[in-house]
Order: sequence, then structure tokens, then C-alpha cells
Amino acid sequence: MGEIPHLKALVQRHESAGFSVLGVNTDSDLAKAKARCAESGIGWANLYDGKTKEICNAWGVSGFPTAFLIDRQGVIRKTFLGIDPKELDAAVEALMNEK
Amino acid sequence: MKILMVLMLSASVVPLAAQDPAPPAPTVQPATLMRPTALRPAGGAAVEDKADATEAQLLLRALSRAQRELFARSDAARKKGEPFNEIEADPTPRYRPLFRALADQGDVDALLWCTAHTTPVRPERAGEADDHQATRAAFRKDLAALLDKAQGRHLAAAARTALGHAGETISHEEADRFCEAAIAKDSSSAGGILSSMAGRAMDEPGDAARAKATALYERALGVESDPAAKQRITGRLFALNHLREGMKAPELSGTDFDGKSVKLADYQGRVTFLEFWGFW
Repeated sequence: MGEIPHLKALVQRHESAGFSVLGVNTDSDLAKAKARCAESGIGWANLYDGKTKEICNAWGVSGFPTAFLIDRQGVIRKTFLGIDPKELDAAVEALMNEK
Repeated sequence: MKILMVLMLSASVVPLAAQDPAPPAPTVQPATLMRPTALRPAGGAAVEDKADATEAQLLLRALSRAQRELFARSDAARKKGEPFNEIEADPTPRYRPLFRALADQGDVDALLWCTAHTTPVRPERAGEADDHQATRAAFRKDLAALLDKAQGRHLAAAARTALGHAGETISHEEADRFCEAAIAKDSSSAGGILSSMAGRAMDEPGDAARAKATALYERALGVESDPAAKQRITGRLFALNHLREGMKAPELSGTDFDGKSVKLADYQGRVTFLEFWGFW
């Protein structure tokens, strides 16, 4: 969750050029998670997976955060286990500059 | 020093050093201190409740208490802004010879403790330091004893420890041989051991490693009976084969906090950062 401010900055910077964040939230209490997202100013959509962990199990996700950077054609270009802000910035930058 | 002696007395364990001279403790020391979650006995059972605890289990309990107390002192010192050296205050070194002696008598908990508390040593080469050779020899001997005496969850724990040292204290081949021997001995742990082997294989890069991991996960699926474990393995196989860089992201859909449908496909045409996360 420490990456939230960084993601917000990325969205602010690149959203108009076609960048989005899509979260898969794994908190066990849906109401609390929804409230905290609002408090944290998270404007992007979140799939809720906290109850059954169905999505996490299906995608073999066991470490958090796990993330996938996907290009405009829907191809996975980079996988993350833990997020290095500099790496993420550079990767997003590169993809935004692609045709 | 004083604290240790009080604990030793209350644990009603006769220090073995008083009866037989303990073999020399290895000179390698753990580089970092592991917090209590790492100290649970291999069986996972609450040792506190067992009336007929073995000597090794009593030792584990005493060491666990000593370390909890150390962490409490460390936290208190930090709150006061006082310095506290956790490594220096660690009671583990004083327990090593005691676990070593019990391991030499074939106690499985003690054998597991000794192997789990071996600092990995780098690969063998000519002219290597004596204590590395001794560490390596002791580790191999303990693994052999575990293969002989351990079963079920203990055997699976031994396999995980062996895999943790693969490519260092022991070779990858030795670790794999140990795991295969463990599976042959006790098929009930096969699923877990095969999954651990697959996980270890994935620590290495490249296609060969991935092929090895896939084959191991598939073997695990074939022998695993627990549905939750099967689900986890299936998920890892999916990730291995479909969630790699350069591959088209699979379909993903679900509902948001309000129950509204959300699909990854809706994001086609946008650069998307898909993140699995939580506030917890």
C-alpha cells in the first residue's frame, strides 16, 4: 500500500494520454477497504477479491503487491513482485512513448 | 548470561554439557536474527500444551521464550531511544551445542533445528576454510539422518531446508536427490515436496528452469489430494505458462466494491497497470 501515492502521481501524469491503474483488492473487509480507498483518493477501479481470493488463486499470486504492466495491445510487458518506483516510472514512460 | 541460566533451570532440562562434553559448536553464526515465527517446532503443534514434550521440544520452548524476551527488551530500548544490539544479545549460540547433542542422538526436531540454523556456505572449491568443510559435512550427515528418521511434515520441512541450500552448502542435484528420496519414502508429503522443488526451480532464470518447474508442478497435481493445495498449484502453473512478459494478458473479470462488473478487456487501447494489493 506504500505505493499508492506513487500510482496516483503516475495516473495524474499519464491518464489523459491513455494510462490506467486497475487494482485487485485483497482486504478481507470490503466496506473498510472501500472507505479507505475513498479516503486515500484512489480514483481507479478495483476488482474486489478479498473474500474468496479466487482471482489471486487463479493467477497464482501469493506475494503482494504483484503487478503486471500491460501495453495498449493487451500484452504483458513487465511483471512486478514488489514495486520499485524508478523501474515503474521508466517502464510506464517507455510504453507511453510507444505508438 | 544470567537470564539464560534462569530459563535453563525453569525448563527442567539437564544441560547435556554437564553429562557428556558437547561436540564443538560450528563457528558459523546466523547473520540475522529471525523473529519468533521462525522458531515453531517443525510439527507446528503448540508445544506449550504437550505434557510429554521431548527434551528437544523443551529446548525449543525455552529458546523461543528467551528470544521473545530479547525482542521485548529491544522494543523497549528502541522506544526509549536507547541502543540495543539484538545480534549480540541473541541466546541462540548458547543453544546450538545442546541441539547439536540431541541431533547426534537422532532427535528429529533437533536435526531439523540444526539444519534450519545452518548458514548457507558457498560452493566447494579447493583450499576452502576448514569450518566450511565441517559445516557442509555436518549438514549432509543431518540430512541423511532426517531421511532415515523423519516422516510426514518433518520430512517435508527437511526437504524445504535442503532446497534452501541448493547451489550453496549442497549442490542442486544433491537437493533434488534428497527430495526424490523423501518422496519415495513417504508419498503423503509428495505434493508439498514437489511444489517446493518447483518453487526452487523458478528461482533460476530461463526456459529450462521453467520447463523443470512446470513438470514438477504437474507431478504435484497428480499426487496431491488436498483441494486447496491443488488450487494453489494450478494457479502457479497458470502464472508460469500464461503470465509472462511478451504474452497476451488473459481475460480477467470480477466485481468492484459496489458489485459492479469490471473487466480487464475494457482497458484495451490503454497502458494498464494491473496490481494485486491490499491495505493490510
